[in-house]
Amino acid sequence: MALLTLRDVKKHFFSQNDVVEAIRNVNFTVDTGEFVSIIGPSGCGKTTILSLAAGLIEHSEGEILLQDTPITKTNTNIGYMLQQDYLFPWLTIGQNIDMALNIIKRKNKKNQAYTRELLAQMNLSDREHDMPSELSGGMKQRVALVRTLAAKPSLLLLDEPFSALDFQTKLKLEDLIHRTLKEKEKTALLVTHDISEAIAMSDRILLLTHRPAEIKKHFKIPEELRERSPLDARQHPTFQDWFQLIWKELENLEPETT
Amino acid sequence: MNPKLHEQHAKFRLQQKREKWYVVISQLILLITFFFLWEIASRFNWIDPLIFSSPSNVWGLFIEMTVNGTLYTHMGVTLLETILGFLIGTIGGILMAAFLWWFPFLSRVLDPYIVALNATPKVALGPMLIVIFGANMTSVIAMGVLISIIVTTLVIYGAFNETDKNLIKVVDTFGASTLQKFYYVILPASYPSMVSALKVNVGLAWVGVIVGEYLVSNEGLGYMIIYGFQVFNFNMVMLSLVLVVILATLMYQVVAILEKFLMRKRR
Ligand SMILES: Nc1ncnc2c1ncn2[C@@H]1O[C@H](COP(=O)(O)OP(=O)(O)O)[C@@H](O)[C@H]1O
Ligand SMILES: [Mg+2]
Repeated sequence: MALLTLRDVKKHFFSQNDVVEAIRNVNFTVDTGEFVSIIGPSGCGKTTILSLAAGLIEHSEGEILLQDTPITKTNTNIGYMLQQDYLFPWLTIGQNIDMALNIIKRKNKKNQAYTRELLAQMNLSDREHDMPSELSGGMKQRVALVRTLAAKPSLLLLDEPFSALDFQTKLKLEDLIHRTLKEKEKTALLVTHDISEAIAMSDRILLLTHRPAEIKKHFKIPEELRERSPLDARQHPTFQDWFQLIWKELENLEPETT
Repeated sequence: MNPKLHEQHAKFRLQQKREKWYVVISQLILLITFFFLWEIASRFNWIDPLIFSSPSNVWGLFIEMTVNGTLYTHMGVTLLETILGFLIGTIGGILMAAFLWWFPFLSRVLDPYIVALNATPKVALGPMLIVIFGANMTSVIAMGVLISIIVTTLVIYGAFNETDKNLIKVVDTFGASTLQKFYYVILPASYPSMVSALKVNVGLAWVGVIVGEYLVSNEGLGYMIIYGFQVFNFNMVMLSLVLVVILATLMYQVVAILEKFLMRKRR
């Protein structure tokens, strides 16, 4: 069943001198429990699509639905994880997580216990009272995930969450996040410009054109890669074939028109 | 640790400690020399003792005014005015900045007027204050407030606007209200700017209050300076000056300690 639906979505940005056509026409759905990735060249409109789905900005035309309800403003059912952790530097790790509960006015013993459990699953229990500056980039991104999950969203929007990390940390974090989301039966929409990451983590991949974005191609990742963890999938013999295939498609994108 | 390193470390620490003492001792010597030279120069008429007074005369007046109690009144009045001017200027500036942040349209409308007010030498408005508040302590405090409130508003409003957009986006994704955004992000992110405004405003409040007392007061250290000048009692001028230096420094130190305390969790 479709959890997120985008139907004929268009988005223009206006400024005094310019109208920027960011999204020309995007149609797709994400089913409950699915992990879908959007890949495309930088500046093609990936973040814009996530911001639209999160209800942070309004679309110009078309329909965006969470189950059957139009998304017009932010919703605690949708969690958003930014490119960098953006933890509040003046708060401890624990306070950073509690802030999410405070804002949605759901801070109570039970929800706090839930977040501490998540923190333990991220192997960060002993860091609850540390300041963000005392943690590494990978640790901070794990905290940011806990903060996003604190509101118990059913849909997670991930905007290149691994791009600021070193390669080894990134591989480990891919595995951890993939496992956590599957365990908790979360639906995820990941944006990335990293082909390997998309293949390793997703059930489906949508390839975007240059701006103004349209969906150029749609890939269904086969069972043998999907059932494996991202790290194992990368070792699988067919992984490289998929990489080549998508690489070619990316290469063959029409050059930017505007 | 190996004994040789240990020994070197002990030596290093001793050296540091010694240097610290040399600095303190030199500072004391400088201070004593200054007062000593002032006294000598005055006694031997190298400088005009009627104009430049002398430490012993200043001290004599200090004892006299302490005994008859008038000094406490003057100091008390000035301290009260300065602290009030400082607090109202700082808190008022922060409140005004919050107000402007909350109503972006208003902030755009008021922008040129705030800039003009900021550029105006506030002291020039002194006579206006006296007309508005009367020739009393309120005018003096108003001068202390006026001199610090506009620049505080501008600095803090600037800090509010420079808050990392991504931190705001984080709370936006949780559906934060404007008040929540302000309380959870804008205010704490601007905290260092507010704390450093405290330090600047202590100095500004002193300027405002002393100038205010020049203009209207019949009490306070600024009044003592002007009065002493008019009746040619330079002992009084010098005593007041020395007290202003000491009190302003002390107040600045208190705020500096407060700043350290407020910033203990931040870097
Ligand atoms: N608020 C905005 N106003 C104007 N143009 C914007 C705005 N946000 C994004 N854009 C433009 O839309 C295009 C897509 O941006 P974005 O979605 O951030 O790309 P991506 O995340 O794929 O790198 C870019 O050309 C960008 O300059
Ligand atoms: Mg982006």
